[in-house]
Amino acid sequence: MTEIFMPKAGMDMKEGRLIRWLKEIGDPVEKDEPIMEIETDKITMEAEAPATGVLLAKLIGDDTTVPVLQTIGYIGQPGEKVPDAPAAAAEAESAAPAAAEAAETKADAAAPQLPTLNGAVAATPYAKKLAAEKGVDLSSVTASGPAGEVRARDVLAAPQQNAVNATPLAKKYAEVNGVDLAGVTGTGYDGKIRKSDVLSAAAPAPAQREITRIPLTPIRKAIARNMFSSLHSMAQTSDSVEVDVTELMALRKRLLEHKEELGTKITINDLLSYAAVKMIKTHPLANASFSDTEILCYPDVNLSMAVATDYGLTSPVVHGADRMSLVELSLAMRDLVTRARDRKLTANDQQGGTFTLTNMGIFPVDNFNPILPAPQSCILGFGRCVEKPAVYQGQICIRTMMVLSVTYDHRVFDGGEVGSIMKTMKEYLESPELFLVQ
Amino acid sequence: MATMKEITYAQAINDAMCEEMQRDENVFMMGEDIAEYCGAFGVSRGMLEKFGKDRIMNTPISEQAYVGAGIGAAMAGMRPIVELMFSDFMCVCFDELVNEAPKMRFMFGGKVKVPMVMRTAAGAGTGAAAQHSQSLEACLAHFPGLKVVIPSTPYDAKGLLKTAIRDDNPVMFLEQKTLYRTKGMVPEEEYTIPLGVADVKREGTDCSIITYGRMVQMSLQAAEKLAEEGIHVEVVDIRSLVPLDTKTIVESVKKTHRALIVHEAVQFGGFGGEIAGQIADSDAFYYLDAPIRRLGALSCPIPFNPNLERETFPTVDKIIAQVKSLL
Repeated sequence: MTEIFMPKAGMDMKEGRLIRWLKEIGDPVEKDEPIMEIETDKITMEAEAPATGVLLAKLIGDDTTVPVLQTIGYIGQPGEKVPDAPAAAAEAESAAPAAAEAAETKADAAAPQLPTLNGAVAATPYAKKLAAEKGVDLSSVTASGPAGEVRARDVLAAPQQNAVNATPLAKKYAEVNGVDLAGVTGTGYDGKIRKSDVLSAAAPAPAQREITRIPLTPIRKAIARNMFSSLHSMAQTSDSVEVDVTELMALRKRLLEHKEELGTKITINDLLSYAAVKMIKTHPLANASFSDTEILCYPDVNLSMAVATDYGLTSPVVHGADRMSLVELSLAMRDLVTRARDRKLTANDQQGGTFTLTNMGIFPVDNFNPILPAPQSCILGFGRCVEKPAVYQGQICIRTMMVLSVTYDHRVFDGGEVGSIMKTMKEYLESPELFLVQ
Repeated sequence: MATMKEITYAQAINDAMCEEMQRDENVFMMGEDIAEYCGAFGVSRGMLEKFGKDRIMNTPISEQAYVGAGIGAAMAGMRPIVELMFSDFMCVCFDELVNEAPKMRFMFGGKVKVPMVMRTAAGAGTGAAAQHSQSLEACLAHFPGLKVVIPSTPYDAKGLLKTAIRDDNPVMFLEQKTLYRTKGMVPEEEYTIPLGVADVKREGTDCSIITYGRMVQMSLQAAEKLAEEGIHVEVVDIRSLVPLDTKTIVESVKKTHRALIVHEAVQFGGFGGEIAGQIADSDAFYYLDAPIRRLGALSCPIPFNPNLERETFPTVDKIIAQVKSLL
C-alpha cells in the first residue's frame, strides 16, 4: 500500500488545496498517471499517482486545503485494508528502550476528540462553574478547546440568556411577541428591560444587508503577499511615454498574411514582446536585480508575462527569450498562455523570470503603474493601441498611438537610464525594422 | 534593611553548615572525602580547618555503614549531617533511610528522635550518566517520617538547610549538582526559611508552573520568553516536597486556571503526579480550564551522550510548548 501525499511543489509551499480527485475509489491507477488536481499558492496542476494499483481511499474531499506532505489517500491492491489513522508526516518519537515502552503514554501526543455521550457537553471544570454562575446553557456555547471542550473563555463570550434583567411584564410581552430579551436594551433602573423596551424591539427591524465575504484562495493570498512585499522592499517608480505604433500595426497586418508559412499568427503583443527583448541587448540593467552588495545582470532573458486567468493572476516564464526568433517567441508565449488558462502550468513554468511584460491593451487603459515582481528591476506595461490625432511629419493626422509604461527599481538604475530605455523602445516600436534586424 | 552579598549555591550550603556547627556543638558531618578533599563538589571547603577531624569525618566507601552510624548518633543526641556523594547512592543505604531513620520516633513511642540531615548531590546535566544523575526524590517523599527539601537558589539553600539541621526529624536535603556554581544574593544577617512554605518566584495570570530544584530557573526563563508574547506565567517553587505547601499551589491554580508541573525527575511515577493529585483533590479543580499537565524526564536511563542527556529532560522550549498547549 502506498500513501498519497499532498505534494510539496516548492521550497516555501506550506499547504495545498485539493481542487478535485480525478479518480474514484476502486479505480485502477497507473504510476505517474494524473489522479488529482491541486492548487498551490503559485499554480494549479495535476498530481500523479505515486504507485500502480487501485485507489483505496480518499482521506479528504474535493476543495479541501491541507498541509503539504499530509497523507490524503492510499493506493494498493484491491481488498487491502487502509489504516485507521493516517501516518504522521514526521516527528515519530525515537524509540526508547523497553523501560520507556512500559511507562509513559503521551497524553499530549494528539488532542483526542472528546466523545459526547448521551448529549453531555464536554467542558472544563472552570467553564462549568462559570456557566452555572452566569446561567449560561453549556450546550449553546461554541467550544474552542483543543479537544472540542468548552473552555471558560467560551462561556464568557456566550450571551447570558437566563440571566436577563427584565420586569415580569416585559418577560410576558417578550414571550407573547416572540422577542429575544438578550437583544433588547433596557431603559429601566440598572438597565432593566421594561414593557416599552420589548414593544419597541418587537417592531420589525429593517432587513440587514450583509457584507459578502470571499475566502482567500492560496493564489489570492500569494498575490497579496507578493504585491505587498514587492512595494515594501524595493524603490519603485514609474514613467510613461506615448508611442506611434502605426508602422507596427501595418507590419503586423503584413505578417498576418503569411500566417500559414510562419505557422503562427503574429500578434501585436508578440511584436511588442520581441522589441522589449531586443531592447535588453543594449540595456542589461533592465534584466537585473538588486542585492544588498551588488547588482546582478542576468545572461539570459527569461521573459515573464502577466496572464489573467479565471483563478487569478499568473506570470509564466519564457526561458531564454533572447535566443528566440519572433516566430519561436510567438509560439512559446501562446503555449504558455493556453496552459495557464487550462491550469496546466508546471512549477518550472513559473520560475526564474528576469524581466516582465504586462499588457492592458484589451481594456480602455493607456497609462498605468505596474508593480515589479521582486526581485526584477524592470517591468514594461503596454496600454491600448488607439487611433488619435497626432503630429506626423509636420501634419496633424490620425495615427495609431499606444502608451508605454515602465516601473523600475531605482536602486538599480536612475532616471537617465530609464529615459534611454524608453528612447530605445520608442524608436523600435515606431520603426520596427530597427528591432527586427537586431 | 539586611545587607546582601552574592555567593554561590555551594557557598550558601557551606555557610549554613558552618553557622549551625558554631551555634550547636552537637552538629557534625560525615561523608566520603569531605575533609581534605572538601567533597566531590567542594561544598565543605575550609570546614576541616575550622572544625577539625572530630566534626568533619571522612568515612569509608560504605553508605550503609555511615548513614546507619548517623542514625545511631542522632538517636544518641547528636545532630549529624551525612553527605552522600551522589544521590543515586541512596539506593545502597535504602534500608537505613527507609526502614530505620523515619520509623524510630514512631516505633519507640516518641522516646527517641532522629535529627539527621542527609545531604546529597542530585540531578543530571554533568554528563555523569545513568548511575550518577538521577532525581529520586519521589521515592523519599513516599515514606512517612522523612522530610524532603530541594532548594533552587543560594538564598533558599542556606535558609532551608539551617532549618533542616535544627529539625528533630530526618531531613533529606537534595542539592542540585548543576546549581552549585550558580550565584545569588544572600543576606549577611542570620535567617532561616521554614520547611513547607512554597515561594512564588514569579507572579502571573495565565498559567501556573509548579516546579522545584533546577527546573525553577528553566521555568523562569520560559516565563520570560512567554511574557514577550503576552503570556504571563506564574512560577511556584515548592522548595520542600515534604511537607508540601498545597495551599500556595491551590491558590495559584485558582488564579490562573491552568497548571503545568515541571520536574527533572522521570515524569512517570514522579512527584508531579502527587502535585497533580493535590490540585485535583482541592477546590482548585473547579477553577481548572485545562487538564493538569506534567512535564518531566523521559522514561529512560539517563544517557551519557550530552546531547541525548539534554533532550531527556524538560527544556525551555518544551516548557513553552506545554504552556501554550494549555492556553
